[in-house]
Amino acid sequence: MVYSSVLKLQVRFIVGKKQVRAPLLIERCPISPLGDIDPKTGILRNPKCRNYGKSISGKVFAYPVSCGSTVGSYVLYQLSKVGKAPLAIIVKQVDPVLLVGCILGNIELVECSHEDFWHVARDGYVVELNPEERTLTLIPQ
Amino acid sequence: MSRRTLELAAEVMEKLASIYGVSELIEVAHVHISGVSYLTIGDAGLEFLEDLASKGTKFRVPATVNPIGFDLEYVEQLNIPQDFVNKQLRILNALKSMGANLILSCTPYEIIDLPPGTHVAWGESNAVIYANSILGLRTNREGGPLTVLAAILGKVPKYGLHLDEVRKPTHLVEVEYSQPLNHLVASALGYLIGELVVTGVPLIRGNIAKYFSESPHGHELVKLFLASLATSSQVNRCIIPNLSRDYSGEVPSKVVKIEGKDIKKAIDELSSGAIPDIIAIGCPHCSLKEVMLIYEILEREGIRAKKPFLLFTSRRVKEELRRLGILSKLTERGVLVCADTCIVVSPIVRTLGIKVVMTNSGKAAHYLRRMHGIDVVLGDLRDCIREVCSGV
Repeated sequence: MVYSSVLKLQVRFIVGKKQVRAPLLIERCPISPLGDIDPKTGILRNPKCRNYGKSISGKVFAYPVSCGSTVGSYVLYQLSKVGKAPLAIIVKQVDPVLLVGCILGNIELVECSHEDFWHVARDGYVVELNPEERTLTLIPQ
Repeated sequence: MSRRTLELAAEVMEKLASIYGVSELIEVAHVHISGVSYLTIGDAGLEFLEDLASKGTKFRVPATVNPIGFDLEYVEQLNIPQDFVNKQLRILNALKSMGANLILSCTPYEIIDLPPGTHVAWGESNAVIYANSILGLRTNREGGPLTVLAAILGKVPKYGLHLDEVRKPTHLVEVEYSQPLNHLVASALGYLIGELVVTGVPLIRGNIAKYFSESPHGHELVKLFLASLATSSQVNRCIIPNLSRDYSGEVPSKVVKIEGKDIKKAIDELSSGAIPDIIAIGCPHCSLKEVMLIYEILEREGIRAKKPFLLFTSRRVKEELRRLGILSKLTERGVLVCADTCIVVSPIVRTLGIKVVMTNSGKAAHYLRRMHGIDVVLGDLRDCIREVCSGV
């Protein structure tokens, strides 16, 4: 099912107050930042990822929930230090490992539990984040 | 200590509290710091820790520390680059100057004794799930840097597994499996339950739970099982009746069923058919009892390792082995006992050019593939020892 209309949703801005507009990279499986994301390039290296081998750098990266190592926070911090961080991360449910990584790495973090978003969103759709209005806009391409 | 450091710690904790909708911070009696190997935290982590230490930061509560990238005794033998050694030692110095207890182990639950019900802030997913599931300690799965900030502030937000209602079981896991559990099945089963449950508190009943609580090697099986479970999920507590110290008998209505064929499939996913270059045991770190079990098998069967056989444990266990005269006997049998590190957080896979590792740990199998891009054979402890004897 492909949606052609724009979807605008109220979401929780957890970290960051920047306006963001960037293409989306979305995964359906849980992600362990340690192991699943290369800390020097931002490339996904979990073979269960549909975007295996692609980089999250400069994108809006969405995945449902984190799993695995508590060292994940440092992976996000490292990505940021080498300029390879995603512009924002969207999850269904925030966890402390991700949260602290985003605070240290200054990465926008949004919690979006609306099933519509997870149902409709596809790789390459443009995401606009507006922290003042607390909205996420999904624009199909 | 600089006011700025305390402020940073307080700011992060308050942010975390507000996200989880709580206003109260709770004092913790102990912190376990994860994210210590230079391999996993890199220059960013090194700078973060040195920056805190340079401001005269001191921990307010006792804090133990996870493994690093090497055993100093084998730096040359295992080809650890000098630059790696230097940076790793700088990380350790920073932690030490803040007052950390350098146990350098991922099994604080075998080293630190705390009464059930104690609130702690632990990193290291296998330690977190063991603490909540078995010991009745209360902790969320804190991120590496968050554990450092928790040690500085001595407090964390009172949410998640600090609260009674979040500790109740959410999924009843029924496993149809009547054979005895071994390391392979325990690892694969944990991994599979994690994939199916993802978040929440599974309750394990039936034969499996009985086996965990009655087997003489139940503790070792539980360690492997829980470590794998936490690897594939966000689960931080799993109830095993008779072992979980603070389980009061509730049974959830949501049921997850697992059969033998599901376990078989999980094993196939975690394990390759390649020929191992080395055999690595000790993820999580081996207890003294585990090392002694391996030693006894090698002695009884007169085995001398034909392939590199690495056991990973804490420095405390290694010293005890030295004192008992077992360490030199293990060396004679071709076993390299490494303290302070493990196959996952050490650079040896790269420095020794290892292509295939055999292990009994589902957690190690997962991370070796993802972090080091190598092939893994998952097997029971007996299969691993059999492989050690193979010259192929």
